[in-house]
Order: sequence, then C-alpha cells, then structure tokens
Amino acid sequence: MQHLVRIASAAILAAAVVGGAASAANAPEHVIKYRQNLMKAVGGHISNVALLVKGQVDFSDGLVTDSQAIVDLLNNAGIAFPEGTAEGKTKAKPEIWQDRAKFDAALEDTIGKAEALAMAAAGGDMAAVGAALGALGKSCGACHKSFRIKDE
Amino acid sequence: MAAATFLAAAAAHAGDPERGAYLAAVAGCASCHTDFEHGGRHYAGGPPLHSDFGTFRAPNITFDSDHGIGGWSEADFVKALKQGVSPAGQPYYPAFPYLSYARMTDQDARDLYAYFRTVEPVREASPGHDLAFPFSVRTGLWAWRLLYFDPADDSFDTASRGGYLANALAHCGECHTPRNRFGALRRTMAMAGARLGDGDVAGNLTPDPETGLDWDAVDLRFFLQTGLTPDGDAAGGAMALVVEHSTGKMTPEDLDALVAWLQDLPAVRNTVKKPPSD
Repeated sequence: MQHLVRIASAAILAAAVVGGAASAANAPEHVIKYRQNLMKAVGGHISNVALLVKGQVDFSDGLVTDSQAIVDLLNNAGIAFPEGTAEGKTKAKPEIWQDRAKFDAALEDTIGKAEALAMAAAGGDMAAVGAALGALGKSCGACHKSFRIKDE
Repeated sequence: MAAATFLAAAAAHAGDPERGAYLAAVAGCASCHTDFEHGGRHYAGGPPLHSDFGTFRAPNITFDSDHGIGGWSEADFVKALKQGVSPAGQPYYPAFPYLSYARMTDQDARDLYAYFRTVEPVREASPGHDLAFPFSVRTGLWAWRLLYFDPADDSFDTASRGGYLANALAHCGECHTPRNRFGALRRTMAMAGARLGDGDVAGNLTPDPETGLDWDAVDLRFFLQTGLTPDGDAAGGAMALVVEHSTGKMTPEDLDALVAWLQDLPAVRNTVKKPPSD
C-alpha cells in the first residue's frame, strides 16, 4: 500500500513537472535566448568561412559544412521571432513585428545569399566563395540596420 | 568666337568625371545625400541625420537649378566643399564635413565637380534641417568657424595616402574622433571613438589593447570590404552604409593604404561601447 502511494505520488510529481514545462515553453526570455544562440551560431560559421577566405586558415575540408550550416540555421530563424518577444534582453527592434512582411523578405534575401554561398562552397572556387560571402555579409548588415538595435 | 567660348569653358571644368566618380564613392557622398531606405533618387537629398544639435538633412546635390546645385561654377563648388560656404555666402553647418574636405586637393575637388555634372539632375526639394535654438541661427556659425576652422591646420595627417583617405576624402574622423561640446573634433583623440547623436557608436579604431581595435590588417581590410567582423557579425549601423558606398568600393591600393595607416595610429584609451549585457 505504502508502495502504491509512493508510485502514485511519483507519477503526480512527474506529470506536474512535464506539464509545468509544457505550459512554460516559449517564454519570451527563452525564445530570446534561443534566437541569440542561433544568431551567434550563424556568426560562428560565417567567421569560419571568412577565416578561410582571408587565408588565415587552410582547412578547406570544413567549408561545405560551415556554409550549409548557415543555410540550415537561417531556415530556422523565422520561428525564433514570434509575437510577444520584443521586450526583455533583446536587440530585436519592434519593427520586426510592426512590418513582418518586410522582415520576412529581408530574412528570405539573406537565406538566398547563404544558399548561393553553399553552392559556391560546393563548387570549390575560392574567388566565388569570397564574392558570395561578401554578398551574404551585405544582406546580414541590411537586415541588422533595419531590425537590430545598435550597440550602445 | 563660339568655339573659343566653349574651349574656355572646357578649360575651366578641367576635372576628370571618371576619377570624380571614384572619389565620390570613396568620400561616401551618397551615404548622406541619398535616402536609400525610402527609395530616394541619387544625390537628391538624404535621410535625417540626428545630432546633439538637432536633425540635419543633407541637401539635393544634383545639378538642378531650383532644388540642387545647378548653376554652380566650379569655383562655387570647390569653395562649398573646402571652405563650407555656399555661393550666396552662407556658412554650412559642420555636419557637412567641410573641415575634412578642406584638406582635399584642388584637383580632387575639381574632379568631383566634373562627376556631379554628369549625375542626372533631380527636380525635388530636399527637406531642410530641424535644429534647436540657438543652433538654428546660422550667424553663430561664423563665430564657431573663427574658433575651430583653420584651413592651414595640419595637425591631422594627410601626407600619406592612408592619412589623406582617413582625414580628408573618406572623413573617418568625422564620426570616429570625439568632439567637444561645441561640436569640434578633439585632435588629441584622433579616431579614438565617439558616441553619435542617433545612439550609434563609432568604435575606437586605435590599437589600444583594452578599448581599441585588436584586429589584424587582414581582418580590418576584410571588414572594410564586406562589413563582416572577425566574429562573423555584420555591421548594421552607419558603418554598413560606409562599407556599401565607400570602403567597399576602394581600390586594393587605397584599402591597403588606409589599413596600414589605421594600424599605425597611436593607441588612445577611450571606452565608447557599453560592455555587453550578457
């Protein structure tokens, strides 16, 4: 009997934990953390491609992986900006949600430039990779200019 | 007789428009004089430039005679550029970087004039400045000039190509050198970084290990070409425009010269950025 009670209380406790987690998912601060991680990860892969383009490393074996990762991560970026996440420790500008179509178009442009970089990386021509990286950087900058709060 | 007049006119406009086009790019004229964000026509007037003194709007500098600089002679243009005085004798606000342009060679100024004559005139008035009193009264600018405008001042290096680019043509110091409370550049703090009127920050470009730029020449050159930092981040503020319209268009030789000059700056300790919050 005591054994059964223990099992029952454990089950109730487990349900409470899981249930609690479910209702707390996508809290603004966690969404903000998620998208900051995502953007930092994109930056890390771009930095790696840039190290290669600048001739600071010669690990060209990693180029395709890094370039594809940028595409994959950016494809997840849209969901990381849901409504209700404009407040808090974020540099995301409210304009993202005031003019969502413009934001989505800017992100789409950046994804297109990332895909072009991945194509160039697969082709292996470093001049083309450099040009594609430059175009991607410009697209990132354009989106940041419109939708990211400046450093203080 | 007509031919003689024409020849005399041609001699007076001896600038090279192609060279001028490159100089206009390096000087980044478009960044302030074109409102790209709202689809503005080329050089027909810029977006608002916020400062501690109010909001400036760079005017239409196409050769339209009503709304632009049509009818300006080469001498008018060179005087406006290098002395900051309009053909009608009105002093410009130093938001127009004539203190930097004063260090420009006459030939570069003439080439710029020749280029702007080839730009399509736009019949569009640009909105005026919106400044707080007493800055709204231009007469005060004469006193300001007396204190701060010295065309013979050579304390900012322009002897090397890199110095000429940074201190004259590309006027990097207009944002990256801090100003005193009257808006004049502090010469002991050249390129040591400053907070701009719109909340943007122009970084400390000197090689101070704690507060300056610790990028190597390759990183710096790559950034000026692409806007990408060594961390893989993309400049998004005013510097994005500078990269797009100015440094990104520099010849390899000019980029090298500018980078070498920047790397050679004396280190100045000056914190301009708040430390990251996380």
